[in-house]
Amino acid sequence: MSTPQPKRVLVVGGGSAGWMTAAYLNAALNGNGRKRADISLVESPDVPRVGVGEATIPNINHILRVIGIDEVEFMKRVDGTFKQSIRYVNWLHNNGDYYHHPFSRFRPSPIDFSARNWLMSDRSIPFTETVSAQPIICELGLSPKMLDGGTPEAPLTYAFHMNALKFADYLTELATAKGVAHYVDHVVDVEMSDNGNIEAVRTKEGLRLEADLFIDCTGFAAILIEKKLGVEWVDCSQWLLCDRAITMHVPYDKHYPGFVRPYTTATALSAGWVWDIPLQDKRSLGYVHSSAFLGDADAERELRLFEGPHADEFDARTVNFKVGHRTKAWVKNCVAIGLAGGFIEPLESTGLYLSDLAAVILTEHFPRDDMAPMAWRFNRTMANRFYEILDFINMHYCLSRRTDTEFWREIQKPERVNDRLKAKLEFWKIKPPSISDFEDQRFPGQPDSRLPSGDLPGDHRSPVDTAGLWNHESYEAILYGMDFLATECDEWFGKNRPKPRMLKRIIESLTIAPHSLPSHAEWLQRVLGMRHYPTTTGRNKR
Amino acid sequence: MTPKKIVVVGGGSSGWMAAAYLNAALNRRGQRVAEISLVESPDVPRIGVGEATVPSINHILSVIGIDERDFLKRVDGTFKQAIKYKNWLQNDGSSYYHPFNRFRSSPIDRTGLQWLMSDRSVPFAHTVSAQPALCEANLAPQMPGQWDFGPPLNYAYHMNALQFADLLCEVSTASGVRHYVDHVTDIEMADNGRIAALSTRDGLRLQADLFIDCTGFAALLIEKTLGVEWVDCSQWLLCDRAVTMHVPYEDHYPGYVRPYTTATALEAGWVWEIPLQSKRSLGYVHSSKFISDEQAEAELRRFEGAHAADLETRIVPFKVGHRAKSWVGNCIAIGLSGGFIEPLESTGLYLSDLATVMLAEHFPYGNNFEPLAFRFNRIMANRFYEILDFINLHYCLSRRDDNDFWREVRKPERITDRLQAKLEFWRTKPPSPTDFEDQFFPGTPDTPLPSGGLAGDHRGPIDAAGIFGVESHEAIMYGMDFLRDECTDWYGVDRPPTQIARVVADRLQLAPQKLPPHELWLQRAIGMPVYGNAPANPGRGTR
Repeated sequence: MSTPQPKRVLVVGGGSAGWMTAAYLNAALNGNGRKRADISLVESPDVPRVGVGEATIPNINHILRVIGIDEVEFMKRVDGTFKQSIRYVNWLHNNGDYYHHPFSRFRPSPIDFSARNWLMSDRSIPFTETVSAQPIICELGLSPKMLDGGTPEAPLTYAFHMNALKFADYLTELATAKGVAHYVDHVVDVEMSDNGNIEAVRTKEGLRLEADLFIDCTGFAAILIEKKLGVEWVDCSQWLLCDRAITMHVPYDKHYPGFVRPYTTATALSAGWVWDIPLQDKRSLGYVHSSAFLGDADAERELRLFEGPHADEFDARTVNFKVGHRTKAWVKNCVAIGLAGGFIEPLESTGLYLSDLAAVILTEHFPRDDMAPMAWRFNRTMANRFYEILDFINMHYCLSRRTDTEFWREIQKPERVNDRLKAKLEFWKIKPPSISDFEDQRFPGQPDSRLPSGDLPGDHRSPVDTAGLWNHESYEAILYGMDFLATECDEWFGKNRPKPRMLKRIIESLTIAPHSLPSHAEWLQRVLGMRHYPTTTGRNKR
Repeated sequence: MTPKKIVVVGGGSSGWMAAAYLNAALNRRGQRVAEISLVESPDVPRIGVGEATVPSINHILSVIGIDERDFLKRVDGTFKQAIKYKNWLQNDGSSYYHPFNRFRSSPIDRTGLQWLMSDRSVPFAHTVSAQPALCEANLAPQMPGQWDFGPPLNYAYHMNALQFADLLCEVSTASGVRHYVDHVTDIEMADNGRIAALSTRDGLRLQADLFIDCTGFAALLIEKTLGVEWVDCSQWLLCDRAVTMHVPYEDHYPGYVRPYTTATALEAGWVWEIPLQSKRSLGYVHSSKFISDEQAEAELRRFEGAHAADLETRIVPFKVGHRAKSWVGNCIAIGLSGGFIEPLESTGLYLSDLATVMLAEHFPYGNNFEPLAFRFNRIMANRFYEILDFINLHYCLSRRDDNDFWREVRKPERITDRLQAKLEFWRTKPPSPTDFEDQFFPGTPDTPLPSGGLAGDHRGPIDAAGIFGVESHEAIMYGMDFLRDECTDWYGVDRPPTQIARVVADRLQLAPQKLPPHELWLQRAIGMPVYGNAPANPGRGTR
């Protein structure tokens, strides 16, 4: 059998996106006696790495499995904890109310009428609590797994919270052990060939690294895709106003609330929202906000106030970002992955996901000779997914009824809701969301606006959202969590409606759960060896 | 809430399925959302051939609440685990399977790629599915008692479509669907362009909020009354009629009941072979431009063997295409009045299933139908073109050049532009899961759907693998020896032997102890009669 020459791949940038790409491509393309790619990664010793506590979504499990990472080992190495849901606090009104977007949900068969039944009810139980055991399991602070590693009879889907820097370090170790070459050196020059491809990069220490394919994981700096190839950035800040975050770590040895929440919390504040991500040794907080509405100093003050008096002693840091995406993430022989390719605020924990996805889709479209058709599909798929996420995050905001600050009044204005989402919401006021809405998201009145990704003939279509990530179930969690169709249901079904019913399966799960599932903290302590911290007295209730 | 009134016009399998499904799906837990009537003419002869289904039928049966064994008993039903395509690549007796079940390796499915890198000494479907071999052995996908043989084997059914309509009629009238046997003579329009009522020969006047046109190609409401255009697709699928025949087991029983549908390519089309409990149903789907009715009939008899000389045949003409919009105003066309594609992948009843399920999902609670119709039409058109392209694929990969028909179907003008773009792309990169998220490939033309009229619907059809995903495409494409020359370029001539996935091999090893012959299961569980084997003759028994 003739073995084709492996393609040389150079990843530029050593953050979590860079190392995940290197490790995933190496595991997915090489093996079974085949070597399709010869992978190297160059990272600068000068560039400070951006490291915050990071929440993931369940697709991370695919990445870990392909790379061959054991779950317990992974959690030990990255300060990892379980995440079963996102809890949204103060999004509808600024009154302490919350709703969950859990990862698991039970679907009655052969037709799932649970949403219709809830809509016909008086809404006295939150929607997701009628179809998922996880909101209450989260409120009880339970682990999704048993102490012996087993799972409940109806498994609880989960992802992880982790320290992203430690994840990158762990991936470095695994990838280099399996043959990924690692250069710690600063890229100073990029050499082009006549056909417009990148030919090589030169480094401060005089190396010249040639490759067939270059992966730009240099973050917002985008030294290949933007600085060298000049590929445009499509700004999307019209629909998502936040452009920076104030971050802070709350170490458990200074302040331990006495539990580790098995979910991410996203609490709406005056000009944005704060993430609260529990790790094994600290909580990571970040106030994502709009600098047009709130100065840095005020944002920091609000974050400290939110956390409580013990927060005064912790450092805060400002992280700037911009919402948008590269018109084409793959141009010639350069593929931008991570922030260099696009960014959306992490309200649904999609930060690492977009890098995951790019690595997976690149593997599927790994080029043999002709890269152009691969790039065309890659760009189309990535743009579709980007807009799917953009619309979904946009929806979290625009359904709010908060009027307490200028920010919350602003985000409800029509010009802050993108046209695709508007068409969907209009349609869902006539017919609540259902499965087939996500086969081809084209709704009456949606404008025929084009993807900004094409100069190849034929790519004139609007983005298509085929529920690559979120289907009607996730939409229902947010829409009904935000009290969607409240007045319509009064009209359709009258005002005097029965109480919602929880599915029998959910009640059964919840009856067993407290007996079969340990608390999240106990699981982490007993299985991973998380330290025991004394509980801080005082304000722990939030 | 006042229930909406629905009148279904037409009592074939589409009509009764729509009535029964809507009644079961919409009126649940004491809610009464729809009040359903069905009117069927005593004069219209019903078209009844043996019909093969796809697994979506299980959803329909389960919602309506029909027990599987009752169903099989009532409709002369048998199991279907695959379609076997014979003589499609070359006219040499070779075949390949498109099974309903298949194994995917995890966390990344490399089974397609591994087969491409191998010497192709085992057909692709055999490497990823036990069903081709189970089919060859004529085994049932069910055990006599409780199933304890690992993950279930997916299946659908073969059935007598007329008997199915009768069963649905009985079930739905028993749960409140009103049934009128009467001939519709007049249709009254309202001022807003909606249909107001139907009048019948016996003097009834049936008013409704929604009218469902299940009158077949006659399309009494959607076409004759509302004048909605038919989009012809015969450029890509040349067949326009079928010669059908029943072979009763009393006359000729081959000694087994195949648990699969066979589609054998003939001179100018292909013949379906659908085994029921009492007979086999055959139909030669062909193009009248290439052979006459008489030639087709003679070829079908020759194909079946000497015992077929005296069996009755019937000609069923059809047309490939779809209604520009199947939902207009308050009228929804379901079944042949909405669209038709030759049943090479058994999608006949499926398109009616789907329309019914989509209508239940898009059922109007209020009076604003247009946005619901917009989505319904868009989804139905997407799915229609998904099926059209997939059937087109079966033909255009053929290497037969034994006659004009087979040379014709491979010409570029016989392959849809969408499919050409896909095939071009898959020659660069074999098909993989994301290809089916948004089937838009370099070079796919920007042809809008012919369903527009509402602002904004200017996009080409989107094929999001509503029914046929990467696995089905691999089954057909690799069954048809796709990427033969490319693989030689990529991987060389001297390639390792094809491996069968371990789970498949394991399953096959145990299968003979676990699974009874299909015939035996039908006899024991359903009470299929025991037939004597046909006398040894050179007929169909051995084919």
